[in-house]
Amino acid sequence: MKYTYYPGCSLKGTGRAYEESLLAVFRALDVELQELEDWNCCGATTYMSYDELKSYALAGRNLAMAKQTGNDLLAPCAACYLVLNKAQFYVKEYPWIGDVVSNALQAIHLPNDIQVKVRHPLDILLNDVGLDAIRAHVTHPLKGLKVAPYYGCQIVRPYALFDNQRNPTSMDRLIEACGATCVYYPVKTHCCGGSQKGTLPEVGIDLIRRLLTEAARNQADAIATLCPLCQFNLEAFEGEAGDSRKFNMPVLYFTQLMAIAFGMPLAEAGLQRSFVDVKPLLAEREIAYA
Amino acid sequence: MHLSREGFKEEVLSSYTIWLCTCCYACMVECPKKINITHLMYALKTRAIQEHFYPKHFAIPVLAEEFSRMIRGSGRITESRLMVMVLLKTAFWKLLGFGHLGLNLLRTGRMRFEREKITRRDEITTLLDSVEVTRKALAR
Repeated sequence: MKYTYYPGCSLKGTGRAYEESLLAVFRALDVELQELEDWNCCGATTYMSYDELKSYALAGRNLAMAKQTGNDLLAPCAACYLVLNKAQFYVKEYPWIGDVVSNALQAIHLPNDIQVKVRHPLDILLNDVGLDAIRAHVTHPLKGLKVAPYYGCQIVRPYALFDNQRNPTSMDRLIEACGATCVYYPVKTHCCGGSQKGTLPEVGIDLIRRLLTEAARNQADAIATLCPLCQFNLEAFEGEAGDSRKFNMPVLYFTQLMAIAFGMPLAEAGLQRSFVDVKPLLAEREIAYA
Repeated sequence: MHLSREGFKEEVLSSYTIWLCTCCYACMVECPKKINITHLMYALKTRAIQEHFYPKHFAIPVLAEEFSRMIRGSGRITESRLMVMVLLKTAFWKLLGFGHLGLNLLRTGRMRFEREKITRRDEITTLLDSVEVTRKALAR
């Protein structure tokens, strides 16, 4: 199995732990990843509201280069995943947008075929690798650990077809394959506010508080995320969001939970980058780790 | 939706609602008439930014501006630099309040100030300029 890997800007910055754990887990599962050469920023939601056509061209450059590699494109960040899929959709649906993007790609000597399959690691882990192969790698089961599986918006809506848009379960199944238990978490696809904590703080903090409160109410020990911005929002503002109750929950990437269960050293999966140390929690639940 | 259709441009573009949209696409998935509300919100934001329908020191257009400038210059976003730039231009006094967060990010190696950039940066400017050329040709 081989995929072209598109990290996106966050995985090289605040979301470094996502990249570290993802690469470690995929290596253990014998899945080969080749980073897309000279990739550029996908534009995310911000560029989309600034200039939509240019954002499709920016996505187009990555997609056209990825298409040439002949492999599916792996996009772990929720925003990248959505923007790349969305660009493909609009180029296909509206020929005039397709022309704008084709012209732009031609100007930088790239072919105009951008229809490469864009995939999220959850999709690959469940549908290509399979839960049985994953279970076979679990040496340190996360028995007794209660996890709130948080998907956020942009993976399941509106273009992803690998899971249910209202009640996705792919991450639940993956976490349970690692030995942990998923708690009831009805807000699993609610929005974390994205960049709103930075731009409209009073609105952003309210959305973050709801997600943390619901996890705490359902007795979760930790929250599992699959997006660098969700992870950052939930973890960085636990203090500010806590009023009557104090939040002190590790917010981890699902790939980090897998890495612990696979018996990898914590630092190999970026766990030293968490604000809330996961070790006391693992010790309390008597979960062995490497 | 109705206001836009009836041409109440100022009322729509100066409404706070368009900024509250986080682009989570929940409305689009739920809409029984399959109206692409998220996309409309994007279009309204773009118009409001272009025509300056927002309060002074409003962070969202500043973020959009800095974000696009960084992509044009480097091809990639360096998050820490972006955050600091936006704060400096909107509410620099708030930078003090971010001390604790900044320290946490530094301590865990997640704050980087070294600029992330791609090798063929000229391709990005050519690409973006080409979109502008085609857009003008289409408008004619």
